[in-house]
Amino acid sequence: MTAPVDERLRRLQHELDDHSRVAERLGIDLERPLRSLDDGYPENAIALVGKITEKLLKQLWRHHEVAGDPSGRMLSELIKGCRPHIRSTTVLDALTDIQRLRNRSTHDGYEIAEEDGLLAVRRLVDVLAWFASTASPALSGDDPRMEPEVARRVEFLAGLYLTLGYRVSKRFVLSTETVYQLFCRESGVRLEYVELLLSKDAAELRNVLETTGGELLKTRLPKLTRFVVLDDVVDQVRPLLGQDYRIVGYEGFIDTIVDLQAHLASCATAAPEMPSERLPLSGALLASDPHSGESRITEVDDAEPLLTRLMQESANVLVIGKPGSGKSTLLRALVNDTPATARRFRFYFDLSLKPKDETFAEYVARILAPCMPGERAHTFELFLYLIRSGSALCVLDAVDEAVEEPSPEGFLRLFADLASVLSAESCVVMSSRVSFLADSPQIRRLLDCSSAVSEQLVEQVYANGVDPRRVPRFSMLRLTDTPTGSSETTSDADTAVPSTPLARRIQTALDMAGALTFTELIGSHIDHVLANAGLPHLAPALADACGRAFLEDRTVFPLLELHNALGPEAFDGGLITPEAFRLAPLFRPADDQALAFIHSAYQELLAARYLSTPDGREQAMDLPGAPYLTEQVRAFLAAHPTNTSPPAPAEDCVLRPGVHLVGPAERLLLRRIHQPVRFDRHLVTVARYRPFLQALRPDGTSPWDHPDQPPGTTHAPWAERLRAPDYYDDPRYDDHPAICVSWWSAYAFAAFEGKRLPTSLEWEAAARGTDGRLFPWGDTPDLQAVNCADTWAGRPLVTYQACKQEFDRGGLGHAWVTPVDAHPSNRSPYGIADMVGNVWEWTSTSVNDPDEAVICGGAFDNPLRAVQASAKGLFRRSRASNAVGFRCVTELPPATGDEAKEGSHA
Amino acid sequence: MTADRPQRPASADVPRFGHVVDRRPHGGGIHGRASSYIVQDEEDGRHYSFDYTHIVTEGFRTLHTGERVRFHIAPADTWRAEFVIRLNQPSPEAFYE
Repeated sequence: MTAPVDERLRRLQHELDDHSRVAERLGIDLERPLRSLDDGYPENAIALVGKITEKLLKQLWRHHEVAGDPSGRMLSELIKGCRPHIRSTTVLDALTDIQRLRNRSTHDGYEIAEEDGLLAVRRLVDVLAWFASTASPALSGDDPRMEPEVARRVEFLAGLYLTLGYRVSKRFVLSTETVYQLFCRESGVRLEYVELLLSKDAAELRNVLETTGGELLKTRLPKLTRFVVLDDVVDQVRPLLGQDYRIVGYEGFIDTIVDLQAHLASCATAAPEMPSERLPLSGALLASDPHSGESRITEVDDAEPLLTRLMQESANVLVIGKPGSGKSTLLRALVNDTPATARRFRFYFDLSLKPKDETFAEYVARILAPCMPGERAHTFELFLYLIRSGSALCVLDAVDEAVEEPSPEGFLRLFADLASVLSAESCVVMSSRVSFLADSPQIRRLLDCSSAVSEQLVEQVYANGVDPRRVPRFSMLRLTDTPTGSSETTSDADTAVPSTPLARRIQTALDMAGALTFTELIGSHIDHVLANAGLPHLAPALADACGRAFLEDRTVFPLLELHNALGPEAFDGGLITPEAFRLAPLFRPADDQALAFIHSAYQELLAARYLSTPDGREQAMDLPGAPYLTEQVRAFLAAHPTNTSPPAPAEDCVLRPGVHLVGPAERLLLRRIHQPVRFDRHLVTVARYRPFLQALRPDGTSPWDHPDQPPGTTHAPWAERLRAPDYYDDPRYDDHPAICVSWWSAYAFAAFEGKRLPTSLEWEAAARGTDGRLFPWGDTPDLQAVNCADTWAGRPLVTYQACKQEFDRGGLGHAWVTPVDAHPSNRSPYGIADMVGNVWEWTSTSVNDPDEAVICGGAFDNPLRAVQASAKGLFRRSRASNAVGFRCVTELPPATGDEAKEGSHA
Repeated sequence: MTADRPQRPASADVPRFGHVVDRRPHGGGIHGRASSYIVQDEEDGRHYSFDYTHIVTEGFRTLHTGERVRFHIAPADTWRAEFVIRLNQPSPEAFYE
């Protein structure tokens, strides 16, 4: 072994000796890994460190009463289970390192060097050092010399200083209620010291000081800070202490490190204006019992007192609600109004202001730097420690707006970043428009709770979302609409009567009467502000600058940028200051010299205005990186005045080149159609399919077969499966869709007619047009227009669970196909009929498995949610079903597309 | 293998993970003519049955043998699975190439 390694080994040995008490109690031999290293077997050392760590974690597991039996569990499970109860991120990192090294050493083919062995032991020492230094009862058992409350405070304060990079130099337990601690850290070439004398009883402290004759306080070490920590600041002790001690109350101790007032003041300027009167927000709360796993949904009339109560008990809550439902206001009230008896320390972060390229840690460090003047190097660690130990409340507003990419993976990555603040003791409130929790019956029930059909249609549910059981002490609060009194079954996608607090506020402020949609309200407010400033002609420039910025995921605008985009006329007297900005009512301060919109919905409307023109869409398509699209942008775009007129019945069914908004609510995308195609106006019918059947060879194959078609495939429909055995013979089914045909048959038939199957993208673009509407006819759900499960049940089912209940009752027994022209209002912007509902339609696209093809549009046995224009499925190409049919497309020469473009509207 | 079998929480609220091990063309749905599936819990090896109407997806409801799913045990019948979610679906972008 090399000399430097030898030296480090000796030092580690020395440090391990300090932890003999823990070792003795847990029956651990700390010597053995060191001996293995000495003998030149680092793999053994790592294996032993792994075993010791497992023992430590099992002890922690039992101490914190984590659910389940720790024995027999693997290291990774033990770490996962104990994680919420560990306050220190240093310890968590050390455990992760040990796990990583242990995994490497158990895999063949990995070289384990001495370095790795030393690192493993070093990490073990780090873990032990934390628990020993904080005198945590978890590993070493209750210290009989200290009263429990005093021990708790010692642990907290020691942990605080350890987080700041100090180590414990001395600890003297002077009595059951009085403890002296000395901390030391290297700072460059100097050594910094902090001395803490903690006592619960001032009288006793005086006693102690008098008996020791003040010897304790007369040391020769240079000291930077000396504190006496008491319950109440009293003067009777002061004369004994001399000049250089500060007397601080325990509850306010953190004030010495963190300037809370500065932080709250900076939050106040950046936050939206609080409404003058508080309105109750109704909602539903989903909480689960950590031990039994049972969950329960409770209806709530007023969310604020509930949230305040949860915060006092220490809980982690995710607040979900649609835009304008009052989430930010609720969270701000929590920060402003928290009574003094609850957590004094509150940290508030508006994550909608976080720049795209800044991580959560960097953002927090930057925002908090001014209020932790002495400790810039440790800002984030200190923040995490205060939150994880439950000493501070953490409010994270608009978490969904901090996501880098609005996709399921994006949300998981974001949540992984944020998860470091969540622990068993933490008190964290987050707000989001989107629930990124894993799909489950409880989550669905919560999301379906008294929400309008329009919301249920676009609710995002993630199969692989965050598992709520993994988040310690987790509850979910969903803000629901106040009942409007109007029927929800056939209302417009924007509820006719504004029911969100934001919508109501705007309507009152603008003094507008009547039922207005959310689009109209936001639009009117923007136009109103522009008109008042005498700048209505700047509307396009505003959409260009700020709308486009939204697609680039930029929400914060430096004043100079606004000046350049809108021109000097947007500022009074040409002064580039927030006060002189004429459009100020639409904005709030985000930073020094930068503004953000007062509510994200404003910028989203501008983004929709930007996308409503073909040029805007083209430019958005060309942006580097995928454009950032949210459901609200899509809803505004679909409601845009140019898009709401119904297509003329004589539309030519031609899909022209251009940029379209496609995708499900959880992943909206812009895609370009390159080549024009003409769609069949109707699905391929039985009557149309018959000539093809007559042209088949005796064995069921045809001259138009796909080259990869498996042998033995026949294009005769699957008769045994057909609900009506005479389907292809009886003339009364002539105008019904051709069903029970496989993909191979659809392919061959298309070739037989000189056409082809559409791609999945072509299909959806043809169904939705360019404005991303939910259904071919628009955003409004219309049961008369579609053949789906809801129509057979006679009422809206919308979601899976409602549909399942109906199915179990037998209510869907008669559901089947209808003639291809049975629903005249089921028309796409290009005049294509009956695209959604009735039957799924084969496309030529395959995804991962070449043997499966994409099918689109939903069928007669799907609920409304699954018959949207974006509905997709995958089905084996050689299989057939009563619910799957198809239609064909004809490729057109590019010239046709250009000519037709000149004559038609966008 | 000498470790104790982890205690199963009593609640049907807790999801289980498993693989689809069998598919039969009949036995499911109200007419008994729809496909039915068997899933095996990957933790304790127990088998549960369900049909296509228990597949929670807004797409076409079908499964492959060997596919990994998350499911819940029906509160009423301990041999039935419900709320079956497919875990390895392609990401949405893949459909728009």
